Amino acid sequence: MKEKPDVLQGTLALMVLKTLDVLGPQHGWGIARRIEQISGDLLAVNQGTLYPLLLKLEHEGPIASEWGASENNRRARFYRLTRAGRKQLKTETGDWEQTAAIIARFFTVKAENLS
Amino acid sequence: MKFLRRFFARLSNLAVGGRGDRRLLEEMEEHLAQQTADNVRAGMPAAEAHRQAVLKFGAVGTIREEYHTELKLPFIETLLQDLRYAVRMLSRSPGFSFIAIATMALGIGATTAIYSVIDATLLHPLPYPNPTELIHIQDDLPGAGAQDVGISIPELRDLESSGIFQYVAIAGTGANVNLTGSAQPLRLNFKGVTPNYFTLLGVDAQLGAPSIRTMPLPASTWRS
Repeated sequence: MKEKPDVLQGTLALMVLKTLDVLGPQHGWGIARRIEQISGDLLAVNQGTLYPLLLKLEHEGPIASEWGASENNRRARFYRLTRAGRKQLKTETGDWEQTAAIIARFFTVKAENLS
Repeated sequence: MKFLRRFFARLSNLAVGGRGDRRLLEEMEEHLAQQTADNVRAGMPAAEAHRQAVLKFGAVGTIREEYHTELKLPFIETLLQDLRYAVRMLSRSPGFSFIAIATMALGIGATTAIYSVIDATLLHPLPYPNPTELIHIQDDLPGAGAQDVGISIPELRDLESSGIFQYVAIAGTGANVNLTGSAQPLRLNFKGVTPNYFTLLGVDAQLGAPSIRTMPLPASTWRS
């Protein structure tokens, strides 16, 4: 199996926040499925690793959770974005876009352009 | 800020106690049910759908452990476990524990006492020529329950004429005063002493020469 890069934890948190921002309150499986749909097989191996991360985000404040009824009317834990979470998502999105833009520029630059 | 929030959330989980991962187990169950249903919708037979859902979820043991680590503070938890274990072992053989603790207490106490004496006498003796010859005399009135009441002039005379002491000096309790009149007021410590105070200690004034102003009191003031 390929070694998972360290950056995964951080990006996974950002994906969770963005998913909750787009879809509104979701239970664990909903978040996992959504991330899987968008990211291909990034999370397909271990959906379970999402739960410790959700707990960590809840401890840190960007998300909150409460019990609710799922689509098939069973008890499920629903996660939603808090106000702090919306703010964090905004700054982290900005940071991520900036980093991506810088890296993209490094990849596109050619030797003759540097003279 | 985030770190603190997380720390306090985990600390309160630790304080409340109980099995916190019941929530995880319930969520896991719901997750697997949803994934299985999804697999069935995709056309899998029921048993295979459940198997695939479990596979997709990942190693349950590792995830539960990770969840538990995040839920509480493992460091403090193990520390408490170790402490509980230590107390249990000590209370299992109280005789041995008592002797061990007493031995350590006596050892530490004796060493501290010896080194305190060495520190005071060898490392930090009083900064006078003959510190061992200095004696502090204090007047107590045990009958009245009063301590350090001061000394009267006749008592001073008695001590001086007793022939036991080379010098006898009196030092008052002293106080803090303000020195004003100059451009910059000064805070001073003072102590009222008898004129032979410096002679007795065998030291000179640090600055200038001791100028002694004696104020002879009429005998009637102290005889009365």
